[in-house]
Amino acid sequence: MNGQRRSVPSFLLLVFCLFALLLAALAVSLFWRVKGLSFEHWFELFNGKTDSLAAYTVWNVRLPRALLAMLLGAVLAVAGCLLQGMTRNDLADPEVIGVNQGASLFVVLGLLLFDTKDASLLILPSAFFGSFLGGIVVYLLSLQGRYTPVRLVLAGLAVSFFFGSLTTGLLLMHEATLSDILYWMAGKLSGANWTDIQIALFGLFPVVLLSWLFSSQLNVLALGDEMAGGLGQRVALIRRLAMLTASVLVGGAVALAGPIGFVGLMVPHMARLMAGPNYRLLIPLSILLGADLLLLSDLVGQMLFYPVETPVGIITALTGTPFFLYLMRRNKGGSV
Amino acid sequence: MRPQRMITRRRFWILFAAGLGLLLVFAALSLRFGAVFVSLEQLVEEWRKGQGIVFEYRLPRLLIAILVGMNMAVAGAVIQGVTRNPMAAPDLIGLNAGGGLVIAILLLMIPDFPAYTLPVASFCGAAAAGGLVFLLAYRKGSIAPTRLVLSGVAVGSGLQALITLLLVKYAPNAAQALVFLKGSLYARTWPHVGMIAPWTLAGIPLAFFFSRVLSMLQLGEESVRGLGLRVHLARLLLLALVVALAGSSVAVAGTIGFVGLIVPHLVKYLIGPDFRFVIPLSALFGALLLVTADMIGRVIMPPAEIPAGILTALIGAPYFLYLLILRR
Amino acid sequence: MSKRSFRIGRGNRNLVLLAGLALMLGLSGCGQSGSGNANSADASGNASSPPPAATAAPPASANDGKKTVKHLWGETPIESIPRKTVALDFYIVDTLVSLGVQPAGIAGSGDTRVPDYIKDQVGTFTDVGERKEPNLEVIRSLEPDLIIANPERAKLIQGELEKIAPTIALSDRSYQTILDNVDLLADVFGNPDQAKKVRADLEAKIKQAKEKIGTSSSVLVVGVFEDDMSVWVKNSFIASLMTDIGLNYVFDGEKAKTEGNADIAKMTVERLAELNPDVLFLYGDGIAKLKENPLFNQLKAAKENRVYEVDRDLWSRSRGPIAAGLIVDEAAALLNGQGK
Repeated sequence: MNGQRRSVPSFLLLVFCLFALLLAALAVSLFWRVKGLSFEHWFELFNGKTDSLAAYTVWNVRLPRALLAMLLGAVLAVAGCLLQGMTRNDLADPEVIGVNQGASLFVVLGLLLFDTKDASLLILPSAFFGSFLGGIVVYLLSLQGRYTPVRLVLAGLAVSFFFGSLTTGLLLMHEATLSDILYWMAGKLSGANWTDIQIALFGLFPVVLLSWLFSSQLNVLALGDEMAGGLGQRVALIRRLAMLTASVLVGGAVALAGPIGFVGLMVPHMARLMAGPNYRLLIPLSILLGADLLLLSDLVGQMLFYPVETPVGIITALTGTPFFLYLMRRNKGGSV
Repeated sequence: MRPQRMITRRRFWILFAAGLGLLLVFAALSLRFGAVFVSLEQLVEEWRKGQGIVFEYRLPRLLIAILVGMNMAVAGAVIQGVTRNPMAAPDLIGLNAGGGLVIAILLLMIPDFPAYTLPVASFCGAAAAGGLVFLLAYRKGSIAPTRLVLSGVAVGSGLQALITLLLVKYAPNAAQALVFLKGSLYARTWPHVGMIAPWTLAGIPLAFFFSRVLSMLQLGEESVRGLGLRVHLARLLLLALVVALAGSSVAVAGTIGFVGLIVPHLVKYLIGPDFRFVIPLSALFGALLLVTADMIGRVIMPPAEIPAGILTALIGAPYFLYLLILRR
Repeated sequence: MSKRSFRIGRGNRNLVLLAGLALMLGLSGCGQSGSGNANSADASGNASSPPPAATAAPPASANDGKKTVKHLWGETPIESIPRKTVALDFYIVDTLVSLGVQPAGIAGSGDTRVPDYIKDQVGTFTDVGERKEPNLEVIRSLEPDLIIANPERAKLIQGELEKIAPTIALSDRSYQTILDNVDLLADVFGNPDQAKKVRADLEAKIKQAKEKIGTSSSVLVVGVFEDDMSVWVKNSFIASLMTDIGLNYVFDGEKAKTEGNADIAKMTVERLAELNPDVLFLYGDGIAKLKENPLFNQLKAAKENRVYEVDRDLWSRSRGPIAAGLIVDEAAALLNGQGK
């Protein structure tokens, strides 16, 4: 287990590299294969002319999408940190533990019950409600550490299976809307617009920053319930707040781009490998790593079978699963 | 202790009789009710003639419900015994996802496959997934229960992601695939009965035959290791049995969840950990659950049907949550 | 119990288990091949046993009704003119109604059993469920003489349907197929004159539309959704209709292989600009967003105000002779300045 303390310079170097990676990925996603873009016209992009196809594509299609990927990556990564800290289980993730599915179920329910044209008004509260519900279940499961990591995962899986079955059942009964929703269910960053960015930036990102305030509490919680209580921490309150925050984050992410899983699983682990278990470092690092991961995943999704897009949720699931396996083998399972 | 054993034994027989009685009642109801009204005289008439809706559709469907319910419940009991983990279930360790992936591939990617190959292929898919899970969990000559569960979860979610990928890619035909993926007994008739019956008829007695071994495996990993290689072999073979039972269910009815999870739980709560009692009761109650789920699905909003898999999730999951949160 | 006897007991048991598993495999093998054969026999049952007389395709008199129908699933013998027909998709209902036949049972989608445009032409019928999952019990209880299915949706229940009644599979792939279906069904129901009338009516409408439209313009029919667009390929139902009324359908590409079986291909605004048709028929919920795209506003059709928004249900999802007539009428009206 990696318990070394990083020296400040090497940590800063790490942050710098990740940031550089982010900028590079951003550049690629903005300018890659934009029709009508060539060297001569490149500077035109920046002088306000918005009626060329290239300008439209870069500023109104690519940029919001890339920004949304970065923001949601950070959101999901931090949600993962919170969930893992709260359950003391490093296999927790919004997807594995059923929070994602709870949110999608209620979005589908909302869309089917209230047949409105302006779906975006409806999706947000439904997603919040659903993820909140999922979060409550997780919270109850993690009480008093009754469940070993394995059992928690299985329980969460049963929960996600339950919500998922209901969602599929609902979808089956309304064939007409099926194909539209299916794309969304696999995580959809395409079609991002500036409204989404506003919601993410002004609504969700502050919550992310707020989560950082949790970090010292999560460090204490990691010591164990009795220990934490003995040190004066209000364990129950902290857990509830963490769950609430995580639900808000996941609900917002699902509302904006559909359920995207495994980011909350992979990023905290990678961050832990780089910086140790201190949540005060983990959370900022996860923000950066999460943004990197989702942006890169979205890029891969666009490039892999060009011109057919692969939804980003599938890319994260396909990379997350081997990762999960690797984690599991490394852990040697722990106790049953 | 003698008195305890007698109490348990008596309780077993009471439960068995009750379960059997309920099963017969629900079976009869399931034959009587459905999308089309069938009067009692018609029912008897059809039974004698061997023709008509009840005989051609409801009876085979009832039999399949019984067989699949038994298979899944017993598979669940066995795997919970082998992994010593009350949360293990065939659907949660990738078997369903394996069968489902094959179904998705055949239905969506291959335009002209012969329809009757679907069950065979899906069985192979489930078996392959099971094999993969075992392989990943195998280390130093045995399969530790925890590793098995975790690798099952990982393989399951990976395969599920692939299924979603296919559904998204071939969206216009997805509805068709979903009908068969979301476990249901729609359009399952006599040929399907023939497909699953051998597995049930051979598998469940086998599982019962091994109840003592299963009870032994509960002792804990060190004790198990101490008993030598034969026990490891038994464990492997029992896992193969799980794959056989669950795989044949998936082949015939798609992915029906929660039966293998809930029923053994409930049974153990009622009768204790002795597998000689757990296995027969699980079979009985599994059959009961599925017969009820299928019947409700057919009767609620005819002519549409709610797939049995959805109903088992609806029935099973709240009970599961109750188990998780309020008890223990 | 000594450890040793325990061990021996274990070994024997393992053998038993192994043997048991092998037995299961063997038994199921017999079960599988048996039922496999049964299934394939079901699937090809009708095809492999036509009455010998029918292979010579006798000229059945109009009252006889006995004939062998050749269709996508093979050949099916029919004893007499069907009185009760079950239609398992919308275009089948359309085709039947155009020939004056009322279906006894219809399978639909969601809440719809009969699409809006022919609602007033369809009488009472029995709801047999969803077209992707028609209720076999209900169909059986109707005791139909004929079942007409969509091969893409009913493939997996083909055997079951054929057990209930003679089953014909008709496709809705192209305009020509729809016309062929009209002929085939007219033959089955013994009113070839009606088929001629349907064809004549349709041709008249097309001719009328052609005259109204006058000079030939280039056209595309495109579905616009939130983040992608799809265009119908040239030999699709809607495109061939457009071609028939004298318009020049300018998309010559292949249908996308990844889109399942629909006759559409992916389209982008850039490609649209390259093709630059005179007229655009659009449907879908992403039209507003498309109109914000500056490139869209540079299209010839946009500049000349010849972009028309049409109903998705009629233009994209409905096929059949009656639908064809309505589409043709609407196209002519729009292009002539009347209508929307």
